[in-house]
Formats: sequence, C-alpha cells, structure tokens
Amino acid sequence: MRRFCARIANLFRRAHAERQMAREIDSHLALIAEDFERTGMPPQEAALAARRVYGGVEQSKELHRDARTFVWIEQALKDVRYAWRNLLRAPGFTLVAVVALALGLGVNFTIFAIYDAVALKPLPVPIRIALCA
Amino acid sequence: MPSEESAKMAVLPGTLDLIILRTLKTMGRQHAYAIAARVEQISKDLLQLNQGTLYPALVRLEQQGRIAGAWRRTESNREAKFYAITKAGEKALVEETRRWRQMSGLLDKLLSEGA
Repeated sequence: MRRFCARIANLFRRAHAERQMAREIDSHLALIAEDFERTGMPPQEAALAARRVYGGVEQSKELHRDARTFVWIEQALKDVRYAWRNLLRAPGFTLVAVVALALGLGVNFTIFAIYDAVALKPLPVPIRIALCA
Repeated sequence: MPSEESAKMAVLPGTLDLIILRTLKTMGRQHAYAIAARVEQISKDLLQLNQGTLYPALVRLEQQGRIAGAWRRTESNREAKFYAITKAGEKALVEETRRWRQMSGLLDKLLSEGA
C-alpha cells in the first residue's frame, strides 16, 4: 500500500524523479570510472569502461521508471496532454467538433425524452381501469 | 577493481531484494556501486550483476520503506546516494531469509532424493 502511494505520487513529480535518477546513475558511473582511473587508465577510457561495466544505461533507466511509477498511466497522461495541445492549436476545428457533439447529444436526449414520455412509460394507473373522458 | 567479463551466472529472480537487504545489514550504509562490488566479491566473481538492474530493486525497497536513501559524500569526496536498512527492512530480512531457507531446503531434499 505504501509502495502504491509512492508510485502514484511519482506520477506528479516526474521531472524531480527523473533528475534524481540521472544524478544517481551519473554518480554511479563516476565511482566506477574512478576505480578504473586508479589502475592507471586515462579518464576518457575509464568513463567508457565504466559504461560497459554498468550495462545499458538507457535500459536501466527504463527499469527504474517501471519500478518507480505506473508507466502506463504516465503515458496515458502524456497522450491526454498531447491531445489537448493539438486541440488548442486548431481552435476552429475544436469549436466545430464540440458544437457537433453537443448538438448530436442534445438532440438525442430530447428525442429520447419525448419518446420515453409518450411511448415507454406506462400510465400511472392499473391497466384494467378504463380511462374515460 | 570492477571486472569487465560477461555474466557467468544470472541472479535468480526474486533473490535480489534479499541480497541487497543482507548486504546493507552486514556492511551498513552503502551506495549502489559498493553493493554491486560487494556481491561480486562475495561470489568470487561467479555471480555478476548487471549494475543497472540493481536500481529497480533499490527503488522498490525504498518505496516499501525497507531501506532509506540519502545523498552523502564518498571517501573520495564524490556525491553518491547511500542506502541504509530500516527497522522494517530488518524485519523483512528475517522473514525473507526464513522463507528462502525453507524453499532451498525443500529443493535440496527433492533434488537429492534417489540420487
């Protein structure tokens, strides 16, 4: 449960979590490189060797993200933001789409409400009592 | 010194958390690289961790409250995130150790039967 909350919280501070992760991986690579340098390796070579020992940096970041948060929600949120930006970029299209949807829904509701009142709802009297004028 | 050979034996799934907890319990506060180095040393390089794969386990354990991480300086004055085992972590370690012993004992018995 505690972990679940932490993962939800990480959805909303993605930038912070990403920075922390990058910082930690950088420091890890630096520590390995330092060990190589101590054996007399030139710094540039040591940095490359550190990456080799560490394994795939990008894969490890992906694993990190997977563990840290719910990646599928994170991506869904990204999609929503992307859609919203695109809608704002084409306000004419957005307006037409919104009006068309609103009209469509409105007309449907109205027609169904009338049909419901006229044909579907039984009159509030038992069926056997004849209604006389 | 880190070795550059390819993995000789992969970590058994589900055992990495236990390995990390035990290492932190024995060695006290450590950063990820020291944990990896220690595990490789103990296994006499038979077991080689892909060091990047430590991180998901560290994140998971930290979120579960079994370890706590904090930024500090190493002896060589570099910054690194050091992890320490918590009370909850120690409890989990006892429990997981018991489960592991039970499981490996059972497998041992099964495998040596009629051998």
